[in-house]
Amino acid sequence: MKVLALHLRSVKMEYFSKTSTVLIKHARRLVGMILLLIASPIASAAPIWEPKENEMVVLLGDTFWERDYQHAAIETALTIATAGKKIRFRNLGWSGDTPRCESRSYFGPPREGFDRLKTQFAEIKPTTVMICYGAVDSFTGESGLASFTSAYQEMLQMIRQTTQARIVLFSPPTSSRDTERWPSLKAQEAQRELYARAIEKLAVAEKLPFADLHALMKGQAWTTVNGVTFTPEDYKQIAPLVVRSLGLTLDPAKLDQPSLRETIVAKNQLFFQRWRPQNEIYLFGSRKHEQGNNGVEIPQFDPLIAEKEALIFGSFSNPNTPDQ
Amino acid sequence: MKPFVTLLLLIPSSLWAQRNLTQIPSTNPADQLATFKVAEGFEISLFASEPMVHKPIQMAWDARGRLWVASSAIYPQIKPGQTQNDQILVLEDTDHDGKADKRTVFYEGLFIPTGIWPQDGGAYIANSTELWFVHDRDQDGKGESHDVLLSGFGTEDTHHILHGIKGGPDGNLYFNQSVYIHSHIETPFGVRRLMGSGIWQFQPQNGRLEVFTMGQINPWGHVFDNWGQSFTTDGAYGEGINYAFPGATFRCLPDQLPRILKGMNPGQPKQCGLEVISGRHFPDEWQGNMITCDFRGHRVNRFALGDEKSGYRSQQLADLVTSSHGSFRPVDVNMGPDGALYLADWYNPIIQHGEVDFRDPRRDQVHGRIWRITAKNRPLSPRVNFAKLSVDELFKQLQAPEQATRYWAKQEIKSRKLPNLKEAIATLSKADALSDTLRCEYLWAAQTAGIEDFVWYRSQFWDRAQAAADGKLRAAIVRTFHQLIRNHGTVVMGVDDASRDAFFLTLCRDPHPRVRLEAVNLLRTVATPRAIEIATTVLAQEIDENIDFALWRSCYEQSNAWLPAFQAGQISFTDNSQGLLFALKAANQSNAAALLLDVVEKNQLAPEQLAELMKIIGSTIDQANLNRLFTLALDAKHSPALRAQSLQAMITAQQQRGLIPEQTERLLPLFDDSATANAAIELAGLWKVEASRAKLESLASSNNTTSDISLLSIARLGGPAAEAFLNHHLKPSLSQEKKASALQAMILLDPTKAAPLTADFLSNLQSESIASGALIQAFLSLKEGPALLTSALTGKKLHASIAAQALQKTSASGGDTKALIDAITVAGGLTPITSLTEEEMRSWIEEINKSGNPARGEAIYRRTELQCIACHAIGPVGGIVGPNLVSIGSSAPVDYIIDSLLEPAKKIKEGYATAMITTKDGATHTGFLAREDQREIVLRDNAGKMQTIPASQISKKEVIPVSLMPAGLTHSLRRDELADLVKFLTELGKDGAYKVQEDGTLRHWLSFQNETQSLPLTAWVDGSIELKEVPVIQLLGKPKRKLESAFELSKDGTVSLAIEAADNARIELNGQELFVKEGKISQPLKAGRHTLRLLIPEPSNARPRVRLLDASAKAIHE
Repeated sequence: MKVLALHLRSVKMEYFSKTSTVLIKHARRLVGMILLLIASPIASAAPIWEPKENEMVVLLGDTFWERDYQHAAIETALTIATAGKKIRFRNLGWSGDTPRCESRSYFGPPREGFDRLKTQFAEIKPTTVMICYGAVDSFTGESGLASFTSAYQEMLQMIRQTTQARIVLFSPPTSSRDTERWPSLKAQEAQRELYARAIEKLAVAEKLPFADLHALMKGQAWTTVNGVTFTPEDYKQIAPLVVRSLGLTLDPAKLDQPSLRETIVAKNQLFFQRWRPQNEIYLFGSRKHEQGNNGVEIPQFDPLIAEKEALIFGSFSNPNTPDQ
Repeated sequence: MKPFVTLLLLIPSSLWAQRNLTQIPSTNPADQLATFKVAEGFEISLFASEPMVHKPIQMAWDARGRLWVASSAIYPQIKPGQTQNDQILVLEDTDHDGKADKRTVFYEGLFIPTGIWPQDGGAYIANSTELWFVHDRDQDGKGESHDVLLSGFGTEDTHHILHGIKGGPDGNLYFNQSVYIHSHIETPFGVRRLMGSGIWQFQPQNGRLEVFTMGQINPWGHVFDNWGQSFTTDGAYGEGINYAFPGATFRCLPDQLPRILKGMNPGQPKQCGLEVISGRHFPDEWQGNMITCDFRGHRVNRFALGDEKSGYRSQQLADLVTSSHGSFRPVDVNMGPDGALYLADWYNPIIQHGEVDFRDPRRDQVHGRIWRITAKNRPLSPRVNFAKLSVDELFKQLQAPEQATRYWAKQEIKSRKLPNLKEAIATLSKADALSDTLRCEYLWAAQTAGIEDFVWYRSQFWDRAQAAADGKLRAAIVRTFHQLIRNHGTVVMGVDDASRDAFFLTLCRDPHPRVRLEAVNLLRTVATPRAIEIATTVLAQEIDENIDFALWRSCYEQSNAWLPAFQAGQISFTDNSQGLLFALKAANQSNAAALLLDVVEKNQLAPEQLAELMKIIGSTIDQANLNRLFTLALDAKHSPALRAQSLQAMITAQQQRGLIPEQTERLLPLFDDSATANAAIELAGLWKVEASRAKLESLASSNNTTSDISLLSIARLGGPAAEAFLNHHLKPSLSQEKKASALQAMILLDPTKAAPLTADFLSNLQSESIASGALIQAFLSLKEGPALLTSALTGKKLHASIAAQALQKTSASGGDTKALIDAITVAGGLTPITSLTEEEMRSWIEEINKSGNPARGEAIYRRTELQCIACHAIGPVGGIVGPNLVSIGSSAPVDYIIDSLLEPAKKIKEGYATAMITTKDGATHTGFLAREDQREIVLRDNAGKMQTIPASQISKKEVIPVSLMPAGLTHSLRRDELADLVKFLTELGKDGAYKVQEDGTLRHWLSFQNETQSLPLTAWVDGSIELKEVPVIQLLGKPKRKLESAFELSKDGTVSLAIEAADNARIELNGQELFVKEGKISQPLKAGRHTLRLLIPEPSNARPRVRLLDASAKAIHE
């Protein structure tokens, strides 16, 4: 075990090198093997992302990230895995989104969404951006790959220009294997695999760490809501896999912290109202001449979010917190 | 009342809290009940009120007879720190006494839930960005947990968010989103996006989500008739009942398609929840009637529907409920399990949230009512306990007159998961004497239960339906086929390609138009090359607006499937040139131009057909085909019409995409042919044909009709020679008209030099004219134009009428024109009443309430110089540029109306924002954003005219807070007149004399200016005509007034009209004199259009008014 850990750490240090793909693949296989052997506790692989103190982590992607905001299984797991580092998370997942930001515009073309995201980056100032795209584009199969990759590259370039953040690329989640229940998904898994590999290739080319969530998920039968999105129970099982895909350590015994999770959910609801407020058109859009005066309320969510975050960080410093 | 008063006391400084407080009605339910007037034979009672229910938005009855209510105290906007704690409530009337006696909170922690549908052992809930399913596994009426079924619905506007969930007889769920919403949903069939309004269709069993219809501004109510056809209402755009079929598209903002359908009752107020009357408790004459809610007018409307070709017609009948209670807001209406009709009353003195501040303390967040309407002396409908019924008994319930009973019986059959369902239905279907409606129910029972066996449906239903009395059953079966083919492709049909196409052809040749409509919709989802060729065979029979639209949309959307096949010769539209022409016109894309050129060259087309095709050619042609088109225009062997139209198409090609053919000097000979001269001269300028200069100069100097256009072309040629020539034409000795034309040209050539000359010219005019308007417009369309005109007007004086004209055009042009408006106001010596202080506003409101006279106000409203009537309709008649004012008084506070008049830009109704497009040549174009796609933007100006701007020429697009309603329209009014006008507007739609009655009154008239020429004339709100507005003309040597109106009859029959006119008036129906008996005339008439003429001898003090007394006759309003 120790030997393996050392080996993996060296992998991490070398992920900038040209041989990284091979090594990471290798590492992944090894991690998989270990997991097969030792179900619990969740094993430590060499982190491909090492959390630093006071980080601001943005989760950027589509429905998969977005759905986590309201039960926060993934975010709670990441919070626990990085306990004590006072890391803040901002979930910028948006249903149906792609690297072209097709879901992020309101009345304009996708470019408007791309530009809005840029502004949000400038405001949030992330230190890490964890990106998970590919689920939506995978429906276009082979023919959509080139456009997906070039849009993804453009997005990476924008993030690098706008922020100082480290970037982690995730492969997309798996789709349901139950194609009898969801017949439209017969070709889908192969296409997800195709996109997962394309993202991996992109990560190598861009010298970025690659978290192969798809590989960790694809072995299991997920309940799913409709074959492509996941139930809260699914998310509970997925959360440790996200942590593992980053190579972080997580003690499953510590995962069950309902009050911590509830505080994170409350924080996420506040943040959702902050960055995607209802009545956008009246507060900031073409009808702001009617209700724009109420736009002042939106930044008032910031101190409320900070309050919740203080509670989240406090739960790790106070030894009497019941959940600990 | 208490919580409300407390709230007001807490915010004493609020601007809004100071105004109109007296108008907040008593919150006591008994007081509200006393204001209700209910149709003869019915009574209304309170089913539930606060604290049992508050702020109901959608309600729905479940299979067990419980009422589910989605409610929100957070709406319209969550406050920072406020908890998301909205609720779904379940109300029960356990002792069946007509009052709710049990309340359960089914689920809480919701965020403005705007849709609820209890089914499948739980409930579907629309919750902000998501559609949830909440499980109630132990069936105790309390939800345990939820799954997010779908997410990514937009929330740009909380009165537009995902709402109105309805279960269809086909087993699908339907729900709506409104015009500001942009949604992006991941489904197992890929992502689905809807940018704007529409109705979604969701198949719960396989997760398939599709856009069912697009458009409407705020689609709200949605019901199904006994044949599964959809009807909808709209909370914003006012066309009454809409007939909706798959792919139907109504008004959208911006338009998602170049073509749209219309609702069946244009000129209606905004309407929300909708229900179709069915069941034993209601009298026969109410069966199938549609009931909807005018939440602004505090009334509940009733419509009767009838078949009309592929679709329906809808006729308004007298209201079911009216009220003068200002907080009565009926928003949803449902038939209950006892056969009574239930109304959800959102209860609020303030509605919506655009015009009134989110935090306005008058907003009510605590009250809410459910009202129950029963027929007097009629037994209630029997309640059914579905869970206890055997399968046989469940099938029997499919014959129940109550639609809801049939719905829940099908759902119960589905939940039983019967292994032998197909066999059971097949056995039942064997009986010969089945009614078509019962066969429909069996069809949907199978579809609801998830049976997807096409071959089975075809043999069990389609083959047996060939003998059906009419086609409605077959139409329903084709709809089921449509879903099966979309889910699985045509392979599901189990036949070879030839048999497949033969079957489609049979559908398109069906004798019933609704079957053909369904067939065309189905073929839209079949991407084979022949599908569209087959679809166009419906043109062999009569087509109506629905089929025309549906076919157009199919051809348009499938052009990638059929057009290449046509070009490759795989399909040829044999013996169907009509179909080819239709499909080519619909395809409207770049490669269509060459094909269309073939068609125009080879065929003798009717002039209007030719013009239409040339329009498409002009906007789609490429460079190579442009040369071909030029050759065609030059070739004398073609008809003059074809050559002239070719030139017009080339003008379009140049203006839209800057295309110019080779060897442009070949144009010159066309100057001499009167058929081609105008277009050729214009092209000489647009193409800058230097060789034409001398000829243009000589034409410009002549007194020819082509001289003006020649001047413009000279300006377009440009250069010092052009300047010298134009200067020569501005000599003082020339006529005003000549000078105006030369100035027009000068503005094109050098606006800086033209500005002072134009200002001089305008200041010398004594009244406005077309020429003065055109000159002002010319500056407004240039980027620097307003600034140039502003400085040129400094120190100048303008005649008041010209200043008014200039103000109107300037305000309507959008952009930053404040300086120019100021300059015009000063030059014209106008003293406007503009924005008001809080104190002034208060005193205005007092004055209006005290001394405003609505009757005088209506007369002011009708003044031609104010132009109110030209842009705004009140009810079914009037202009369409601005919002319909039919219920402005019952929806908008007085201060809002005053602000809108004084400062139109301050209050812009949704859908009336102005877009400003700057093109790369520096020109600016403003108007409503009618449509936008990757190729072009289409603007609609305030005359309703469309302007297309190619995307390639656009350098900037802005949506600007400028109203097309000109500022300063009220400048000419005295203070008392303005008070009267506002008073009139505040009365519109309120119960009383200024509520437009849809009672068959003829409201659109032609007023004859001489023996043959007429102008449109709109009746007053009460339906009458003021004869002073009709000129006296000499008819057969006698002074008379002549008026004409028209109506339409849907079937042959005797029609009666109530006529109020002068006793000595001559009444003619279709030219034949008729005599009034007891205020009425009756006449047997054929179906179709009929003209009524009134000839009223002068003098007369009559106030004519004519009303159709039969529901089958409908006034024609355009």
